[in-house]
Amino acid sequence: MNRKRMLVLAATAACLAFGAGLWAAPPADPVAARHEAMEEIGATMKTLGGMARGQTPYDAAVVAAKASAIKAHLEAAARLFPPGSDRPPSEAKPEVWTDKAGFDKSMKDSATAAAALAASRDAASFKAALGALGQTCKSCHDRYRHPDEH
Amino acid sequence: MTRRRIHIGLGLAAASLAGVAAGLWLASTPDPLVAPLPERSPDPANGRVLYHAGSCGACHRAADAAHPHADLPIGGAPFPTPLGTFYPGNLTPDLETGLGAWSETDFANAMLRGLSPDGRHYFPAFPYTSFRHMSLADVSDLRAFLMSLPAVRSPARPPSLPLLGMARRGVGLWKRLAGEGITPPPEREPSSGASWSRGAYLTHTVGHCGECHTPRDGLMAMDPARLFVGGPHPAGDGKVPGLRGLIGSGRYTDAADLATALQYGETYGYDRLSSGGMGRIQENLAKLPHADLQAIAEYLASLEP
Repeated sequence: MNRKRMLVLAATAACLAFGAGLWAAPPADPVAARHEAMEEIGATMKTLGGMARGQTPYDAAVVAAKASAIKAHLEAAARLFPPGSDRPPSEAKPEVWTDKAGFDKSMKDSATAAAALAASRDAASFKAALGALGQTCKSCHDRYRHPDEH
Repeated sequence: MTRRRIHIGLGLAAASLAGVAAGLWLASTPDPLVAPLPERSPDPANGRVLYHAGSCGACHRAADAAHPHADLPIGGAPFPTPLGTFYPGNLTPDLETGLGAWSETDFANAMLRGLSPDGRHYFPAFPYTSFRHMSLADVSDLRAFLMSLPAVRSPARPPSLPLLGMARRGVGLWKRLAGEGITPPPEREPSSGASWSRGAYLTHTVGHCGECHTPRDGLMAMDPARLFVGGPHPAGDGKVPGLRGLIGSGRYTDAADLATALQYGETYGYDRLSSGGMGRIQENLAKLPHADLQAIAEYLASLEP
């Protein structure tokens, strides 16, 4: 019962976050905005990583809420790369714009992996889905982010 | 009279030039280890650990990621440096193009002295500058592991460097001038445990972390005074982070957190560890026994800012 309520709450929160992302006006500083979204995703991945390692008990409702938040951030971030937003401190490679179709697909693959993570229902599938999401982070960063700190 | 003087002068100049050239030639002479190495039966399982600790496959990878043997260190992928581009060689035991025909002494000379089986200097893009402090037993175990891999034919490609032959001989001089300045891993302090020492050995020597994380001096050698402080990327784009004060800066909470970061990288939210320059390294570190990751983390955590 409690778990069900948590799920509903999580789903509502995710929808709200998603809606807010959709309707938000383009931010004045897309570089800072996408940086912040990525930082949020990183922090959330760390929380889920702790659960995957057994530091906190596995909780499907928490996973669903966190994964949905990641998905919302990814979908918001995907719209935070307007042409010309490659000035420092941006770490985006030119390929974000020269290979826009590839970049968009990469972001979409990541959001899909986050959705799969949100839908995982036991500890084993959670761990596998978290690993799969992590792989999408890595492959997008490899192709579209400058390799080392600037 | 004057003409005779000029002749003597010219003769002296030529003689001193020849002397300098002979001196340089002597100073750049390769200094190989001599066979035979101590008799022992190598342990390829330990070799596998060292192979991943050294991320050998990160540089000795296939040029084409879609190659059917791209999971093996068949070599050929470009390794750009400010001096030119190198193409790390094939480490599989193929007789013609790999290490199949190499004796154990040949392999030890490559790892510890930076010399090829035919006695020529390797460029220090191959980090023997760090490996030279490896134990002979570890070198022989690493070779045993490489010899246990499937043999794949993958011909080596010479580096694209200006004046290749002369530059290669010049490496001999560089080894004398710069190579000796490279510090071995710190001696074990009475207060530190075996894990810390193992971590120091894996970090300095086998993992050769300093090759990227230590800035280079005027001779392009790792500057021992600025060990692990980070600096410009050797390939010229961006910066390599320092490895000092990782805990104090709040980047990691403690050594255990750092070990987790090395093992899981971006999958568990530790940014910059699974992509970019560190990506291929972390992929290898993830295959180490956890005790070794903890040892590396323990050593790194002890590095003061």
